[in-house]
Amino acid sequence: MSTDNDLMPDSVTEALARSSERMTDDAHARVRHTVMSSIRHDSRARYFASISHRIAATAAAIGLLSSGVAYAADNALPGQALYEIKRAAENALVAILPPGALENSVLVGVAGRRAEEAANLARDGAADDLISDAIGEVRAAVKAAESVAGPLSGEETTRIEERAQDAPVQTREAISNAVNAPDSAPTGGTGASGPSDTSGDGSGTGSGSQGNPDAPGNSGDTTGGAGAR
Amino acid sequence: MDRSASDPRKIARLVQRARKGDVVAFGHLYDEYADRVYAFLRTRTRTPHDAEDVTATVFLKAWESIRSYDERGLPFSAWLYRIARNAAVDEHRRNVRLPVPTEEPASEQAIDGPDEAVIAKVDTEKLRQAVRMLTEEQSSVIALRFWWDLSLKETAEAMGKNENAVKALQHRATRTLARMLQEDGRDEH
Repeated sequence: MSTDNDLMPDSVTEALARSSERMTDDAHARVRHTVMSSIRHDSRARYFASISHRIAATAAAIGLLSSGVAYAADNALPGQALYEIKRAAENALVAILPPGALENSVLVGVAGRRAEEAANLARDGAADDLISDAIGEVRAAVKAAESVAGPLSGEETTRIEERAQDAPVQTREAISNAVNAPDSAPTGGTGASGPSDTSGDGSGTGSGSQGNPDAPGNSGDTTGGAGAR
Repeated sequence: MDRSASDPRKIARLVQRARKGDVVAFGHLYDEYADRVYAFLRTRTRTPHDAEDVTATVFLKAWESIRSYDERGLPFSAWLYRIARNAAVDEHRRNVRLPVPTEEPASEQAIDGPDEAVIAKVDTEKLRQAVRMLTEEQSSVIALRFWWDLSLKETAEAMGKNENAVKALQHRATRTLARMLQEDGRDEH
């Protein structure tokens, strides 16, 4: 008999615990979508209305744009010195956007940028963990876009995936998976490499511990990562 | 979903962020509490679909008013329950279909004690139906104490009552449930 529930016989307590009705996963997701899509614009407006955020974001954007650093950072990849500036500039831009189509479009654009970064890292033969992290960032950016705009349209996912068209096949597939199923667990380790080579591009060697086999310079010596592009 | 209480610090952080307009944090709060809100509303609505609709309403109302939520007052779960309870009342007024008793049912007649053997055999659906037949306050106590894991003190705060009143409600609810379930068990034999 519990202390606080001494008025309640154990059998009733147990039966009550059993009787709690849970939402189905579908219902949970359905209601979540209803709620989140209804509040998203309000949230942005509220954020926008916050003077401190607005001032900070505007100052950051103006500072970065006027210095020319942001432009130089545009092509920076994860791990490079200017990359943090690139991300800060993006965040500043997103923070000051009014809700609506422009905001949605920018967020999809940001996800496309992440996809392009992952593709470029793989193409340049970056380390597996860096590529894996970059694909994780694609996933996060897609989820961020969906939290504001709801599920992405086919046109939007295509727009993101197109930014990764230069990537080796396996990386492209991993990016595609991140874009189309951002809530699912990443498949095949980094998603950019793996022991199997079912793509027929000759890039997979099973030497995942020696970097990204999708990338030229690793396993790409034979048929080449270039062939996988 | 794990019914055990979530880490209060985590909830406090999420609430703090949500109060500033952080949608993602509010989404996490939804994930934490949606099942409990739904379970409570399921006792006050006829169909799962109705419960889903009102659950959405509850979270939308919570979002609208979260800026005014004072974390030094009610626990967040108790605050959310109040919104759920009010939404359930509104829904019931709009859609009077279920005979929701507002007075104490005729179960006040003495019952020596619940027949635990009978109750233990009761399936969950029957018990849920029985909870739905309790008065609103009684079913609220059951929901808060056993589905929301609120303490006696928190339940009292959420319902705007003192602890003794909650104890009495819980006691009556138990006896009423026992009576209904015993009758149900007899009917089947």
